[in-house]
Amino acid sequence: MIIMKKNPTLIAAIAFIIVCLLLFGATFSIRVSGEQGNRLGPRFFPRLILGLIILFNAVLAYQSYRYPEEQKEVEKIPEDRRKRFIGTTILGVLTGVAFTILGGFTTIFLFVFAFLIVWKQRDLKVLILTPIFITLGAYLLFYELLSVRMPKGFIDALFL
Amino acid sequence: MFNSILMGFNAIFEPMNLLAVLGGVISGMTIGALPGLSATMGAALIVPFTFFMAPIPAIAMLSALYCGATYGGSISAILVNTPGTPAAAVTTLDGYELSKQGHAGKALGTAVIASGLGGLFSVVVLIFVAPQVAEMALQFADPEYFSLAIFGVSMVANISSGNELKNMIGGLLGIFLATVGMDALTGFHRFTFGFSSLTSGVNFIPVMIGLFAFAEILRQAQTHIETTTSTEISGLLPSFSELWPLKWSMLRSAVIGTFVGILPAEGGTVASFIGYNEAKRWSKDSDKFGTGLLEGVAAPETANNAATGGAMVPTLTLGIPGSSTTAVILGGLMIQGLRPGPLLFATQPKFVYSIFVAMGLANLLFLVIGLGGAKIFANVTKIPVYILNPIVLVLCIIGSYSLGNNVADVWIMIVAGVIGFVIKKVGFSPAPIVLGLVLGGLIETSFRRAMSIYDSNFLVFFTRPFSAIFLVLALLSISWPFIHKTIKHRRESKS
Repeated sequence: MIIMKKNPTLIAAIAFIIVCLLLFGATFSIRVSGEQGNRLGPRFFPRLILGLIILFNAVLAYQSYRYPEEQKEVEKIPEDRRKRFIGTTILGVLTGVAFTILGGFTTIFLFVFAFLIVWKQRDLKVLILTPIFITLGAYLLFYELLSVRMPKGFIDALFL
Repeated sequence: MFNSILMGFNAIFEPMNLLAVLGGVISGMTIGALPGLSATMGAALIVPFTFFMAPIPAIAMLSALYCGATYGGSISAILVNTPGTPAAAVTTLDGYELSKQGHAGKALGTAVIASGLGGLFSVVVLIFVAPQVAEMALQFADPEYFSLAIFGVSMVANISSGNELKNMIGGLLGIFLATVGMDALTGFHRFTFGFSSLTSGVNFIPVMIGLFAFAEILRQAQTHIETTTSTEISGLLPSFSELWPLKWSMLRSAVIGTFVGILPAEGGTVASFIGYNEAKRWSKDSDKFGTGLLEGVAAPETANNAATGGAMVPTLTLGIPGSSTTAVILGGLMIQGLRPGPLLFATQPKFVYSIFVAMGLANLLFLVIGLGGAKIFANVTKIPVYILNPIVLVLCIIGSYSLGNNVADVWIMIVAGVIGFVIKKVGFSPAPIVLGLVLGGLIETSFRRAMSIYDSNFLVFFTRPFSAIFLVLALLSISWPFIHKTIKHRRESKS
């Protein structure tokens, strides 16, 4: 944990190397045909790029290990902002899940409402009117004007 | 050429196209004026919706947005000491000082005039230089395209100083992402891991939206939110006697900005810093820079808007983005089924010249709107983040989805946003990833085709003159930050 805070570059470089090694392993499952085979076929280029990423990250890891004083520490985030960040990230993921289940516009309405709560907005007028206006604006602009057909889900299907 | 320009004028002055340019300018100025929303982010949010438009209004709107946002960044830089776009960062030095002294109006007036003139200068250069570059590029074959794209990606090493290695890793990561999906030459799947939605590859528009917009909202969630208090504006126009002494400074910045813009991957931010530094170096009042000089506003603002036209030169003629925003515009061109490059000039002259005219018109429009409506745009800076951010996020979601009516693109946007946030935290920049992703396909296919045509002879990249020049430039570009650092260390240790 201390290394993560003090030298995040080192951790990032190691993480990159591990992921790239796994992806390098995955290149063996890419199909190749006949004589081109391993030389300049579909495996060659990703391997070359992954090899370069591993090489550069090894240099980066060495530099950040050798000169830790040059690394920027990860700043400590106050509790309320950390909660806001985690809430926003979770909301983003939930939006992806709810999009097809509830319907595009219902998800947008709920998302904006939840977003305002997470961002500590307690004014009732803002809490009610903002989701309504943003959803209505999205409907008029995208559904009516640009004919974007959002997923209907089981709630949007009742209205659209 | 004259006929083509006339054709461009005829096309742009059709009502729908005019409306697209006006819409692009106004939305660009609004986005630019809002701290936290950059021109790139604005273009990334708008680009999916251009899918529903014809090519001319679509790209005209994106280009106008680019010009408008680059200027718009100066509004919040001058009024609230927070640059609306990174390119306006240096404008805060003298702009905000002028505001504090009660000359916010003069600073805004100088910024809009300088931006407009800088932008117009670069459009004129664009009109004359781009066709020549395109004609030269007609001689390019696969080895040249490979080397040129490598040069383009190599330039990302210099996007932010001190992070050269990280920028290169970012560029390579983008190139790797471009290999996901069906191999263009053999049709075999790569890194799809059974997800059918990845067969056609990683769509770079959701990646861009995630990296530039969603990641920014996540960053803002972690930062302290300040309530913006804007300065009152009075006396908007600087007098002729105040502007006239700035003419050489503006001309110098216009030339610098256009040249820096033409260099692949360099954009308005670099241009504005160089423009400011050069103005300071040549000025008789160099010690007064930073205390509220009109020249300190005019120089960077001329340079960053001059970079817009310059950045369109490699984008349209070679398909190599001149800045991160033009990388997004390149995406817009691809959505329209247009392949930027020299052939675009030969096959679509009406389209190309209407974009040139649209950019010129956009610079004139924001000059008029900026002078007339500065007070309205000043109010934009007061929009609270809790209203603005959900709107941006809704645009992120619908924008990603609407590209192919595919929820997988929304997921790609979310994942890219989270990754973008994390890598930014450890000092990586999202721009190299996008550039690598945009150019990755070109790099791989031109490399493999060249190898296949020239019997796997790697020397072909060094024996063809243009290809060799681009590779040497790429090598210089990659090694320059390290050489520069070594020289600096040696000088410091000697002294």
